[in-house]
Amino acid sequence: MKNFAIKLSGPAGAGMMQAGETLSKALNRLGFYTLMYPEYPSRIRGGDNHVLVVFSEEKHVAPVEKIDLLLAFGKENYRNHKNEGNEGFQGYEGEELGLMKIAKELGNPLVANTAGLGLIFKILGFELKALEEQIEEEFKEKEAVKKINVDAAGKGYEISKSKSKSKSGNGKNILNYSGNEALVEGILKAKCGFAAIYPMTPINSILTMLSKSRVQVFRPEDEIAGMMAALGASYAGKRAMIATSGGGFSLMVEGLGMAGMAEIPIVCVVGQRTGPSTGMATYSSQADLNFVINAGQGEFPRIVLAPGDIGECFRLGAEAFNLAECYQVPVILLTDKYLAESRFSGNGEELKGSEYKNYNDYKIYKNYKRYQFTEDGISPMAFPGQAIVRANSYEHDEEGFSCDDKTNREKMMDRRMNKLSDLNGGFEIFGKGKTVLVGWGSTKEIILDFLKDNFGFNFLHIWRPWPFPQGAIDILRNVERVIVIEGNYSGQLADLIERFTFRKVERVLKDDGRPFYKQELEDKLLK
Amino acid sequence: MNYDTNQEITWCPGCAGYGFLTALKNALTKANVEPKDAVVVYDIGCSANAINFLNTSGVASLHGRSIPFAVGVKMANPNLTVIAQGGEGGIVTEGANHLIHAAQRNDDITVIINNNFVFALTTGQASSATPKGFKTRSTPEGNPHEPLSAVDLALVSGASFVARTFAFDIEKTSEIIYQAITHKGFSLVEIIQPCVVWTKDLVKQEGVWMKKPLEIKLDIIGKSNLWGVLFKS
Repeated sequence: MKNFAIKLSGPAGAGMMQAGETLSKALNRLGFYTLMYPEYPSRIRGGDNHVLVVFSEEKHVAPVEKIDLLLAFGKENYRNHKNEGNEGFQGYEGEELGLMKIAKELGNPLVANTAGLGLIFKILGFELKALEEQIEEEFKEKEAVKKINVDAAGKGYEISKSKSKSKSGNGKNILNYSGNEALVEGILKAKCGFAAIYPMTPINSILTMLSKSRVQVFRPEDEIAGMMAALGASYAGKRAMIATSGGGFSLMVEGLGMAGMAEIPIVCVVGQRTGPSTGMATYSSQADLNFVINAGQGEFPRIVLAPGDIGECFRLGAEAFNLAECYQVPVILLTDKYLAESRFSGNGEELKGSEYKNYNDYKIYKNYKRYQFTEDGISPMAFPGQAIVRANSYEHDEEGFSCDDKTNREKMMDRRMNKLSDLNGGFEIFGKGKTVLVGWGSTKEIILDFLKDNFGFNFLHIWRPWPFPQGAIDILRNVERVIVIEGNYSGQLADLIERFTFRKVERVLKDDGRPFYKQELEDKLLK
Repeated sequence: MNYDTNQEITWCPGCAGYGFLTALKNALTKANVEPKDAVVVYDIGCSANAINFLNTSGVASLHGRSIPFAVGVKMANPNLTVIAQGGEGGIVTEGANHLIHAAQRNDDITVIINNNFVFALTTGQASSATPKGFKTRSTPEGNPHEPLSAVDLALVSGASFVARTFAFDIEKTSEIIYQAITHKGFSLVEIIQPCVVWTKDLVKQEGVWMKKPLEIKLDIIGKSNLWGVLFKS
């Protein structure tokens, strides 16, 4: 079976996001792998929110531009998408079909979306049971809401006269996570203790989730304060993070430099969206790679991680804190709107294997020197209350006193700049072939879906763009053809590769705020 | 308790900073705070150079940002005595947003503002707290604006302890800082300390020392000649 694509469209406030999530999770229950990709304008009510749900019998599902089934909740929403159909396309409008009437009769106009899901299940030829079970799971603590939604799904199911019967998928216990959800699992696994987050698309759900967790959450007056408070918490002994997007991170850059200079561990989640400036605030991008690698005056070590799927969101979400603490550097976790807010599925392996590692077991507090010279360049960490701890944004001596001495400066720079020299890994290789496709971050699943149908390609996925992995340099120097695929205008990773390998690479770029679509990638790569 | 370091003090002869430093040491001694348990988060500027002169846990942070850093420290470890220091350039000019919000939240930190009315370390330009009409390197015709007051901003934003003192009056300043760091909730101590180079004759210690805090905020706002603990709730 080829991937099947459904689009739900309706005004903001009509519950498209929720319906998309319920639908994809119900399809997971039937054994299918899913992708749910939402698009919405920057408004709270009205307009056209739409959700793409693609399901497949195999893992790795890319978004598509051409859809197989449309269910719109409103005439204008229908018009917006009716021309996006594949061959054999079916398009429906909920008002005409009576979905809104069903909802009204049940006593809550908001359940029209659930009635629509019942209808879709009938059209697809699936039994209603999986959808009912999913609804019961979602509303298990709200009996009345649960009942009205189950009823709505049943009534919607009855509307269609379709007699088609379809087979279920073969997947078992398929899990369904958004990038942000998997990231939060990693953050909790790593025992993060403090998060300063000023709301901004696409990281808002991280703030929502952490606010309900054991993590101490601070909603600051601005991003500058958020970064500084997180540094303060880290200095005082808690694993700390911020989460923001490019605009907020711009305000945090001064604090980032202080983290580098004062060697205060900090994890910065930067969810990319379309810039520059306010750009397209609810759309995706991979254009902040140069920014996060180079942000800040002067030179200091930093690590940039770019998870590509929910497994990496979890693993790197946890590992970011371990690395920040181990090397006493800022670690930037670069995601994007597509990865953060879309929902992906997996078979359970994704959320295993990460562990909390503690690097702060130093116990000699007498005559403690925060910036002591050591063999590996990493000074023992103590916290105020344990010892007199002096952290300093000025150049400083071993004890943390401000110091302009020439020799001290040279020694301190050498110590800081060489801290990361033993870092290894940073990439993963898939497939076999003479042409190497290179991607980073959220293109991973999309390129893996491409590889399912197209042989003869090697795929190098970079999950740590900085420091740029030495192993990747060695490989890329010695292959015939390199094509870099990324979601920005100029090819920022491609530039990095050319800088480190002294070779020219080809670029497949896209900068319209949307992820690469499957067909589009095929058109560009197979031409 | 010994709060002295082995570092050279780089302030000008006659600098009010010496008064501030002595008073701060006195207050920490009276409150019996061990050097490792006091965290002073310094801004950038002359007074902030005390990172080298006071032997406690401390952080030389960024211009205008000592308050949010201090807020994070206190949230992470409430057992520490946390002070955010800054000049009027850092607290009232660059970082006023942080001042009003920390006061609004009643964060349990003490903000000490060393007010010399100009950007001194950068050779004497007007700040947001420079008196109207005062000639500086950036206002050769005289400062056209009415000054902003840290005391006023903190008061209207919800601070639960607000005081103003004079750096050379070490006895009173010591006692006020002691009260501030032992106060539960947000406390602000404005230390008026004319700069020997740029604002030597600008401010005289004139006015009234409060015997006890006032109860009505409007009796304090706009009055730069009131001294002592002005408000406490």
